[in-house]
This record gives sequence, structure tokens and C-alpha cells, in this order.
Amino acid sequence: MNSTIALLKKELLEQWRTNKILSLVLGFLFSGLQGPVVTKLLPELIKSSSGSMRGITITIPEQTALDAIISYILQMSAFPSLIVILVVMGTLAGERERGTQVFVLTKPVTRSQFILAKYFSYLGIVVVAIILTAAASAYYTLLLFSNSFELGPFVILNLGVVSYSSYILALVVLCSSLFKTPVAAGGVSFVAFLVIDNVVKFIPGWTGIFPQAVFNTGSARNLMTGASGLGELVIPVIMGFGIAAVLLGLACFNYEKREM
Amino acid sequence: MSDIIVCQQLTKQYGNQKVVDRLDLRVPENIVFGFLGPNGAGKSTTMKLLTGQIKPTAGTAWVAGSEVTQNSLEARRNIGYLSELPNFYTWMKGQELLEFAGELFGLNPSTRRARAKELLKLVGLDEAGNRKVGGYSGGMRQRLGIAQALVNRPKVVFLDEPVSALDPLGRRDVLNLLDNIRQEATVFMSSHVLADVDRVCEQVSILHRGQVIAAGTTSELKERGAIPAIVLELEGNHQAAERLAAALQSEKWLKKVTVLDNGRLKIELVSEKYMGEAGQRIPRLVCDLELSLRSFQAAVPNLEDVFMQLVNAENEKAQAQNKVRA
Repeated sequence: MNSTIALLKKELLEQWRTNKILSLVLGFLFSGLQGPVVTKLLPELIKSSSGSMRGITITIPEQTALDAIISYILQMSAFPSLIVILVVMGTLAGERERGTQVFVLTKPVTRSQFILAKYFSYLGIVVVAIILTAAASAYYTLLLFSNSFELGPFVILNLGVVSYSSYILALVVLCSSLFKTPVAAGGVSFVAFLVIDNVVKFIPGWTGIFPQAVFNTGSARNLMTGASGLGELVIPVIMGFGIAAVLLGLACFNYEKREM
Repeated sequence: MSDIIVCQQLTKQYGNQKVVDRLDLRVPENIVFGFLGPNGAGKSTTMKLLTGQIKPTAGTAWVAGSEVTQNSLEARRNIGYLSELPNFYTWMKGQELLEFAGELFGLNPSTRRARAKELLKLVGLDEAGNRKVGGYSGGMRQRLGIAQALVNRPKVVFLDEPVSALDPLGRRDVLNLLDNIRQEATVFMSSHVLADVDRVCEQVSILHRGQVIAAGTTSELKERGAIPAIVLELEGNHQAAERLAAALQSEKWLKKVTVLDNGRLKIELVSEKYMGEAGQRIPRLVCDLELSLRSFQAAVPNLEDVFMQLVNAENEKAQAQNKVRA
């Protein structure tokens, strides 16, 4: 237990000193804040560009706080996942490449402890980044729009984002345990991320149960307006954490077998 | 003296190649043990097996009473390890790195802080303890590597080429340090610098193609491999040495004569019993050839001669076997 805490502290210190915490938090904030800001500026942007399209009338419905929240949720899918891939891809592959893991793994520490400390330290930072981004986006939504939104469904949607991020994080950790270089681990993670996201979209019935369901605009709108219950997201959220646990288990299994 | 490291038929195979081949080894407690061999002999692989980094294809090994081949945490509590090319977290400070290592061994904060300071002083890095490891030179990293291997007061310390990146002064300090460590731990070290091994190791095993080809105390090995020889130095140039070498060819006790640099010659005898006869005959020949002798002494066998002799013999044997097969 003591060595697990030591490893967790070391990971957090490393991520702080190597600016990974800053990269993750800023990346998430940059993505999330685009939701309310772009939603607010959208009518102006379209109005200014419609000058070149004479004879065409574009009618934009008045943008509301709900539109801003939906836009925020959409922004939290692609770019934050890319940042997670870029920041985490070297977590195991990089240590193996540099030879630093020998220093730790010849001490009384299991390889699973080594992996789990890495995963949970990153997950902690991602959760903090999501909380900060959600709070900032909610604040700007309330600031920029005259109407309000329901806090409960907004929190549930963010729980979905956490679940989805935990799965992406586990996918990158698994790839990092399988490949010898951070670049290879990052490349394969990115391809796997794209393939899985698209496969889920194309198989009927899967969209609603996988963690990607959080980013479905129709479901998010229904949830925010109360047209559907909070229960709709329970399965995708549980699935996200479940898939993360399986991927993490595979990473630990692979690393326990692997020769240094 | 009981054995602290025991290997029984330890084997590691990659594909068809046996890197470590049925290795039987016993290392007594509280000595500095030298593990020698040419590149690719299997030294580092054996160390990795003994520190639980890799699993053997066959055989077992025990270190300080724990079976290391099962990769148990208990076994790792008793060992310290320095790899051949030590790399540490460059963003950590020296003191922090040692404290982190202590924390992994479960030392409490005050103990690990004190131990880190003590070790930094021991390896001569006390003034660099607050600097980031990324700014350390190769020699400083090697010293830090030795310090982290000692943080838990291990029963056995495995050091893979511990002096390879050090300058002569650093090497001297580290060898003195190893000399002191033996009071509390067994040191198992590999090195290419045979003079260093000769200086600090009580016992040595020579590994070649994954197998031990010679083992014993350093003095035993030197006696076993000692070639009766005389080294002399003549006044004058290379030609003087060549003339004497030519004149020696007809002597029945001569096994081999080698002309070295600066008028020096190494004269190997067929047997120790001819030492006296050669000692009388050579100065006479020097006079007859109107040369003058600057120095004359019996060659002292060293570990390097023994190592070269054994490894060359093994290579010749392998070549002969290959020819027969072909």
C-alpha cells in the first residue's frame, strides 16, 4: 500500500514538473469553452459572412443556454481525447525506451501497481480538468445567455464525459504497455480510438449503450430538457468504466508477462 | 560461510539461442564476487534473472534465501541493483530520487531522508543532491545508481559494470566503496576492467557463451592460468630486441617469444622448471650479442592473462567443433 502511494505521488509530481497537468487542463478548458463562446458568436459570424450570399436569407433561431451546453458536450469528445493520447502515450513505452522503469521495477513493487498508479494519477488529473472545464463553461453560459439550464442533467452529462475519458485513458495505457516507443503507442491509440468510435456509430443498438452515447446531441438535449430520464445514461456510463477496467486489466496482464 | 546466491541449472533461451546455459553458481556471503566474460557471454542476462526482471526458461535461483525466479516481492526486498546503463527520472533531484527509492522499500520519512543524505555523502554527491538528475554527468549518474542500490541496506547488491562510466579517480573511489560494502552485503559485480576485478574481488566466475568456464578465488585462477615467463628490457631500439628474439629460437625451454614496444620482450617458457636455466642463459646471450640489459624480471600473472587464455581456448574449441560439423 505504501509503495502504491509512493508511486502515485511520484506520478503526480512528474506530471506537474513536466507540464503534463497544465497541458491536460488547458487542452480541456480550450475545448470546453468553445461551446458557450461559439454558440454565442454563431449568429454574428453567419450574419457577417452572409453579405456575400445575396438573395439568400438564413434564419438562425435564437441561441439559448441549452444550445451552449449541447455544444460544450460535443466539444468534449474529439479534441480532449487527442490531448489525452498525446500526453499519455509515453507513460509506459517512454519509461521502457529510456530505461527508467528498471529503477522502479527492481524494487518491491508489482508491475500492476506501477501501471495502476500511472492510470489513476492521470484519471485524477482528467477528472479535475473536466470539473474545471464544466464549471468554466457553465459560468460563461450563464454570463453570455439570459436564460438558465438545469444543473442535475448537466452534472450527469459530465459524469458521462468522465466515463468516456476513463475509457480513452485506459486504451492509451494499454497501447503504451504493448508498444516499444511512445510514437507507436500514440499512433495505434489514435487509430483504435477512431475505429472504435466509428464502429459503435454504425452498429444499430450499440450507440445507446457505449460511452459515446454521451455525445449524441439528441439524447443530450432530451436529458437537459427533461424529455428523457437520467437513467438513459446509466448504461453508457457503467459501460465506459467497465471497458476501462477491462483494458486496464489487459495492460496489467501484458506487463506482468513482459520481459524488461 | 553459507551461500547467499545459488543458481541451479539456470537457463535462458531466446529462440534457438541459449544465452544462459545450465548455469550452476554459488556465491558465499559478504564477499565481492566478480562475474566476467566477453560481450554477449550472458552476464547481464544472468543479473536480470537474479533480480527477477526476466524469467528463466529452466532452472532456479535463490538470493538471500528467496527464490528470485518466481519474481517475488520478498526477494526484491533483500537486493539492490544497478543496471549497465543506469537511467533515472531526469526531473527529480538526487536527494528526491533516493528518498523515493527508500519510500518504495517502506522506509519512514525521517529514516529515508537521513539515509538519502548518508548515501549521497558516501558516493561523493552530497553537494549535487539538490540538483536535478538531468544535469548529472555519466559518472555522477553511475554514483547515484550505486547509492540507490544501497538504499534498503540490501543483503546482496548486483552491479552491472559499476565503474564503466567513471574516470580513474571515480573508479578508485567506487572500488574503495565496494571494499567497504562487503562488511554488510555481498557484492555481485560484472566488469570489463579486469584490473579492477583483480583488485576488489575475492572470487570470480568467467562466463563464456552462457556457461561458466572457470571459477574460484582470484589467486587460484591466476595460479591455474599462470604461464612461466620472463619480461626483459634492452637498451637500444626495436632491432636489439629482434636480434635477441632470433637468438632465443634454438633454446629447448622456449615456448614463445614476443617483442613488445620500447625494446621489451616477453619470453614464455615451456615449463616452470626451466626458470633457473633461462635465468642464466638469457643474460649470457645478451652479452654475446653485445647488447645491454636494462631490466629483467619474472612475469607476474594477472587476471587479464588468465581471462584471455581461457576465452581464446574456448573460442578455438568452438571453431574446431564447427569445422568437424562442417
